[in-house]
Amino acid sequence: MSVTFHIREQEATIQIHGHFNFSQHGAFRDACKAVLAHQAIKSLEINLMEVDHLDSSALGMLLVLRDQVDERRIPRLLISNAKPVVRQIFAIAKFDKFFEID
Amino acid sequence: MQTLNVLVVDDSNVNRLVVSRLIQALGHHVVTAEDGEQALACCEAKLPDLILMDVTMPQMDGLEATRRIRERFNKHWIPIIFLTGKIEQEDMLAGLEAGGDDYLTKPVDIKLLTAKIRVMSRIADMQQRISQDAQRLEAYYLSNEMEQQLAEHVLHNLYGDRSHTGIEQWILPAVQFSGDIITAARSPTDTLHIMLADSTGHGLSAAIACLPAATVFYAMTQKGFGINAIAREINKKLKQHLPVGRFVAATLAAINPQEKTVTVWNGGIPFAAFINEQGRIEKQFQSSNPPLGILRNMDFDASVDVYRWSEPGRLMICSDGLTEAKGAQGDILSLESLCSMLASPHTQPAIAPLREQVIAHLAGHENADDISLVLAPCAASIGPASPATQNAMFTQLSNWELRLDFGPKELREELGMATLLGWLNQIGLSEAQLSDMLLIVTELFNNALDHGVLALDSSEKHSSSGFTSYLMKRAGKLFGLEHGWIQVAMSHVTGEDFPILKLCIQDSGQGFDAAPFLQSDLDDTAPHGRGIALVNRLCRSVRYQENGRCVEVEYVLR
Repeated sequence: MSVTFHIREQEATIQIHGHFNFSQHGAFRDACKAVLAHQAIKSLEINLMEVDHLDSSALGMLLVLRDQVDERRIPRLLISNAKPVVRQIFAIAKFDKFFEID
Repeated sequence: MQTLNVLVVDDSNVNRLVVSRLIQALGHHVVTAEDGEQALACCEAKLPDLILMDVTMPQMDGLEATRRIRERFNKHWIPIIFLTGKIEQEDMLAGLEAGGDDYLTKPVDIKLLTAKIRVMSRIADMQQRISQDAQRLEAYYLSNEMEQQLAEHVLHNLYGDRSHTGIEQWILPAVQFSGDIITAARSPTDTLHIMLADSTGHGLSAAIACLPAATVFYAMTQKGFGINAIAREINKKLKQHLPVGRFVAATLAAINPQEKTVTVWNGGIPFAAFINEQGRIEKQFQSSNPPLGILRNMDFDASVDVYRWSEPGRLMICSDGLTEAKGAQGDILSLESLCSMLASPHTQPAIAPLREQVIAHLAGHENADDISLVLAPCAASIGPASPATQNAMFTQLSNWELRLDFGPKELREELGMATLLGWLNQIGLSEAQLSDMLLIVTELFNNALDHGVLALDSSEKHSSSGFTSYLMKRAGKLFGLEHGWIQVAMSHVTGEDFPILKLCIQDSGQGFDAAPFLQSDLDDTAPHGRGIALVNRLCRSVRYQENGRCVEVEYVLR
C-alpha cells in the first residue's frame, strides 16, 4: 500500500510512501475519506516520513484535504516528518502560510 | 438467443432442406444457395450472420467461396462453418486455411449444430462490439484531434506574439500542451512586464487553467497597472474559476529601463534572478507567496521585491520542470553553471546554449514536467518601440472637471495610483496620450506621496546603496501613516487648436523648491529630479505653487 492510515482515539495519521504525485491520487483520497468518516477525529496528521518527492498535484490534494478538514471543523491538521527536499517544495509554494508543517 | 440470418450453401437439395429445417426449428431465418457463386451473390444482397458451407460443389467449391467472401467482406467477420462428409485432418486444415471457422460432419447432429451456432453467435456479438468500439474510438480520436487543433490555435494566438519585447524564451512541454506559459508585454509607460506561469499538472487541462491568467495579464498591462495589482487580480480570477487543488505558480516581473529596476512578485516559482554580464547571480528573487488561485483575496499579499541594477544584465526565470529535470544518473542541473553561460553582453541572444545544455542533461530522456525558461535583457532601453497606432478619439464631453481626495487610509492601501489608472483608462485617450498621461500622473503623484506626504529625501533614493533602505523606509512610513492627504483634480477644456487636459496635484507635505528642476538644460544623467524634467518636456506648462505643495500641468491633446 502506498498510502496507509491509522486512527487512535481522536487522532488520525495518514502516511504516504514513495513519490507523492498524481498516481497516489486514488489511494490518498480513499484514505482521507476513511479517516474523515470517523466523527470523533480531533486532529489529522499527514506523515511524510517515507515521501522522497512530491509534485504540484500532491500540493493540490493537500489543499483539497485542508478544505474538507475545515468543513468538518477538525481543529488540527499537521504535516510531519517532511524530508529536506519536500520541505523545499513547501517553502517555494509558501505552504507554511496555511499549513502547520512540523 | 437472438434470431440469426443463416446462409446454407449446399449443392444437394436434400441436404439443403434438412439443414434448413433444423435451423428454422431453432428459430433462425434461412437463406439458401446451391454453389459458391450463388453464395457470394447472397452475401452481396444481404450479409448473413452465419454461413454453413458445403465443401465439394460444382462451379465454385466451398473453399474458394470462403476465400472470396473473406476477401470481399474484410471489414465484417462472418462465422463460416464447413459441412462435410470427410473428416480427414488435411481437409479440415485446408478449410480452416481458406478462412473457415469450424467443422460439422454430415449427417448434421442437431445438438452439435445448436451448440456451434451458439458459440459462433457469441463470437460474432463480441466481434461486433469490438468493431463498434473501434468505430467509436476512431470518431473520438478524430474529434479530439480537431479540438486539439483548435486549442493549439487559440493558445498560440494568445501567447504567440513576442514582438517588441526583446525577451528570449523556451518551452518544452511534457505532453502536447504545455501547462507552463510565458507572457510578455510593454505597459504604456514603457515598462516591460513578463509572466512565467506553471499550472498544476500538464497537458490541455493545465493549459486551460493558465488562460485567465494570460488574459488578465495582457488587459491590465495594457491599461498601465503595476504587477502587484495584476497578481492580485489574477489570484482573484483563478480562485473564482479553478476548483480547489488546482492553482498556478507564477512569477510576474516588471523591468523599468528608466529607473533601472526589476520588480518581482514570486508565488511558487523556484528560480528568478538577475544575472549580470559576467554570468553571476547578482540578486535572486525568492518565492515569498503561495501560488495564484489558492488564497482568498483578503489574505493575498501583493508586496513585491525590487532590485536596482547598476550594470546591465538579464532577468532569468525558469519553472520547476527545469530545476527538477533529472539527468541520466538522476542528477539535477546546476543553476549556477547554467547562469555562468550568460556571461555575455545583454544585447546578444543567449538562450540557445542554455537549451542545448538542458537537452544534453536530459540525455535522451523525456522531460517529466513542462520546462520553461525566459531571459529578458535589463538595460536602459527595452528595444524598438511598438509602432504607435494613432487614433485620437476623445469622449463626447468637451468640458468637464473631476476631483479625487485621498486620505491616510487610501494612501496606506495604495489605492491612489490604482484609482487614477482606472480613471485615465476611462476618458478615451489615444494610446500615445494615455502613455504620456500615465507617466505624468505617476511621476507627480509619487512625488506628492513620497516627498510630500511621507517627507522622504529623494537624494537617498539615487545613491547606489540607498535604494533598498529607501524602499524599506518608505514602506515603514506608509504603513504607519495617520495623517496627510493628496488631492488630484483633472479638467478638460477647449484650447486654441486642440483640447487641453489640466491636472492639478496637491499634497499635505512641506513643499520644496521646484525651480532648479524646471530648467530646460537639466541633463538626463542628473541624480534626481529627472521625473519633473520629463513631465516638463511632455506638458505645455508646469507650474508649482504654494511653495511646491501644489503642481499644475497642462497637456495638449493633439
